[in-house]
Amino acid sequence: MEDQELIAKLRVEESRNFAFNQLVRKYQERIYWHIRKMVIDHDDSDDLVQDVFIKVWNNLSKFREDSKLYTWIYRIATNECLNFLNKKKKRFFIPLMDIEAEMVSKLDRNAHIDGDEIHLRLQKALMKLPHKQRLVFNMKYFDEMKYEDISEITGTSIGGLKASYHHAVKKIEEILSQD
Amino acid sequence: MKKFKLEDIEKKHGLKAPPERYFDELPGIIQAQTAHKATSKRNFAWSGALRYALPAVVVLLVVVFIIRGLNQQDLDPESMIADVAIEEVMAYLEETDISTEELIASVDWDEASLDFEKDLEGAGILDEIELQEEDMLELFQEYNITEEYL
Repeated sequence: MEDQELIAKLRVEESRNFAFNQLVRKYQERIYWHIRKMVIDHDDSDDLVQDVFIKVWNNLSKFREDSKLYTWIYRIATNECLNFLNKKKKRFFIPLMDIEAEMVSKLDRNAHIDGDEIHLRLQKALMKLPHKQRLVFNMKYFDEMKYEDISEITGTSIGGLKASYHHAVKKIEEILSQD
Repeated sequence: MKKFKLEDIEKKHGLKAPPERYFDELPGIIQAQTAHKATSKRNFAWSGALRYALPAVVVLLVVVFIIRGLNQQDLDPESMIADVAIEEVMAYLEETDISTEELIASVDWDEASLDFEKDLEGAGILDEIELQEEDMLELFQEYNITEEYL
């Protein structure tokens, strides 16, 4: 179902539940992987993706059609991710043990990796980036989203996004070249 | 040191897939939660109303009862007078301008608990008044009560 049709059906009480079900089916995988690439752990991702769609449901009346439906959903997912990672950061009081190290250790345990060693090294290199920069990198590199859409999602200018992405690529290539 | 280039590797995130049937079941799990939250929201609205409205209603009722109680006390002259000592009533009556005739006229004789039938039989309030004959004659003279009234 096209987004326009989904939106129209979501506005009508009789068809809202059905339309929401269609919306979830349409976007669940994209949103899940958007979150999973940030938090790594499946269980955390599962919780967050459910929270995201519940927020979508609760805020349907607030959705203004000045943005695309999927950028709106992505924006909610992005905020949930960042809030989750920031909360987790606050729980670590010992400076040596931070959230990136925890997530790298998860990668090392092989529980979440199903690919070549280079991809494990890539994920570890990504952990060294600030959260927002990693988000931008994921959306541009893995999801191949347009800068215009990323700008709508993050609220960052296109110029800022381009600079951030290119800086991220350079940093990752340096890290992987040193290994 | 070989310079690593991102474009040289396959574009893969390398993370393991979620459990089987995860995406088949996820929509149902989410919709069950949205349905539950819709019910809880309605219950919460009611419980919120009860939580705040009920104590306010109780306080209001208590205040109303107190005010009614006070008003009833204020409007009950008999109970007010009953609380006043007899000596104070006598002192007030002596000092006031109210005449004996006015006092007598203010009594509701139908309601008054005077047992005249008893008096006629020789028992009653007159017997309870300990007056000597001389005192009675004096009173008769003072109030000009002649034989025709006796």
